Amino acid sequence: MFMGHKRILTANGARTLNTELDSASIFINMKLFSRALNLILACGCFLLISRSANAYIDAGSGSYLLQIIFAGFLGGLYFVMSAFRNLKAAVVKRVGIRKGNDSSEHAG
Amino acid sequence: MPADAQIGASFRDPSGFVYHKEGMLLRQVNASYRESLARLADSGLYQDLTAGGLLIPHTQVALDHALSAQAIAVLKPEFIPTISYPYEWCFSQLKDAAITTLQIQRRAIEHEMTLKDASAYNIQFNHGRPVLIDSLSFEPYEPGKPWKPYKQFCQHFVAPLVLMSRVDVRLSKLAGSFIDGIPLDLASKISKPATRFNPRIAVHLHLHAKMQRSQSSKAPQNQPRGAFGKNALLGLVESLQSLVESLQWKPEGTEWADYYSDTNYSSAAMSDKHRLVSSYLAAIDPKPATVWDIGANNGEFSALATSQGIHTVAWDIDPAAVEKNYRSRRDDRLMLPLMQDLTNPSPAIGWSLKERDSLIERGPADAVMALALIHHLAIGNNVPLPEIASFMSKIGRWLILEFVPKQDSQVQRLLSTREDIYSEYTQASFEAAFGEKFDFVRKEAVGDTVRTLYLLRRRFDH
Repeated sequence: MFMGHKRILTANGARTLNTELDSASIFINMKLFSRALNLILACGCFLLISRSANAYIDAGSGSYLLQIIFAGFLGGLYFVMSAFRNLKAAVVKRVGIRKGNDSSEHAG
Repeated sequence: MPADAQIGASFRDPSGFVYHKEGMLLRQVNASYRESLARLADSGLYQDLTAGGLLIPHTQVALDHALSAQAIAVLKPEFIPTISYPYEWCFSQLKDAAITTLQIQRRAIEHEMTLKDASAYNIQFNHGRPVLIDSLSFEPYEPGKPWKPYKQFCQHFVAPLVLMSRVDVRLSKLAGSFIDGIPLDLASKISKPATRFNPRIAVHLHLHAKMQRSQSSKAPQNQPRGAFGKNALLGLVESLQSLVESLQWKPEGTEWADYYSDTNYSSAAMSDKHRLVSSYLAAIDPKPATVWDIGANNGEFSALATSQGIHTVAWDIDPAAVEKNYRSRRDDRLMLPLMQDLTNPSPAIGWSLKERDSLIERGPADAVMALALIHHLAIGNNVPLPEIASFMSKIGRWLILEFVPKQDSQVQRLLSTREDIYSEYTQASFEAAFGEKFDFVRKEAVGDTVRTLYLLRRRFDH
């Protein structure tokens, strides 16, 4: 923080070389310092939040890699299983309707 | 009433922690979990999971109840009467807990969220069913990212289930030695001869362990990156669930699996014991909220307590007996069968010995039932009677105890393989030892046996 403050003052001071630091330039310096401070704090907070939003458990490089290697297979597996479930549900529904019709016919 | 303090197990996740305050068990939510908490509610996931009995419901209480300044919310979860640990669960309990975790992950993905951890310790049995107790286990789904707790899920669930199912059910005890689940290389080494050609186990356990070894030295910047779509994530859940569901274990062949078909009770004795136990339970005033039946076998007598509306933990050393109890009484919402070796009870483990409580730290129960047990402790394990009395007084306020004298055929069976050095094992010595810690409230002979049933009340409670 202190080093940042120093650098800002020096950079700004270069532009006002051979001139006296009047109250206006001090105000500008303070404003720049305040903005820089806010930016640093905001970045710090973002980093902290980002870090805590990451896994607090060790996900493991090997475990990650294994999942990526099998990504295509797993995606395919899900597709096939979903299709099978949908087909099964449709058949069960159809058979159920037919059975319902049959029983209502018998009842009639 | 527990002192106001953070729970010893609740320190790893920066999203929040659980603590006792003013007699309540509360969960503080920290600022870093703000977005996830909002998403959990707004996406409908919380509603979906609690309605399905998969997540413990909570109410939000005033922020004044927070324990530290980082709090953005304070939650009061539904109270769970008994906390249990994976190394105390039978095979089917661990399997049900694994399936519950995967069901939660599937529903989370459907709501654009994901589980950020998959610890077996986050699952507890409430009303007879496994339920996730950690409301802070979710985070928004990030497209393209693999499942972070895949490794944890395999260590906490896949490894012990494979070992129990394919090698030996007693290997569940390993979970107590490894606080973050059984290392995959160890589980792979033990189970490989029996599971080498099972494709699902080969991938999720053996290859997984191999990949961990080969990638362990990789620096973070060299960690693999790649697309892992939502279908792949759902496929992973599908694959893990089909592996878990394929694992079976038949409860037979253990020492106590067929105890009640190999006992010395006549039907008249059994019926009289039922009558006495029920009447002793009903005589306890005030009515107990929790009963521990220690040495419960398949829970036959524990069920007498649940039938009186009492939450009952049926502890037994035998995995088959606990398994049979769990499978046969799934509809008994007050019954919790658990494994426990009373000669070496669950110790306190984890960081600073505060993460998982010992058996004694989870007591005392309002009432303890110790039926046909004392001879196993006194003769089978050489524990002096005053020591048994002291232990019992630590775990229960009331005690229903069946004294089995030396002339009983079960005691004679125990003595047949050892020298009788138990001159102190008499009913008079028993009464003297227990009289130091308890008041004798009732004492009746069990019909058609030489046994006596006692109702005792711990002395320093009144």
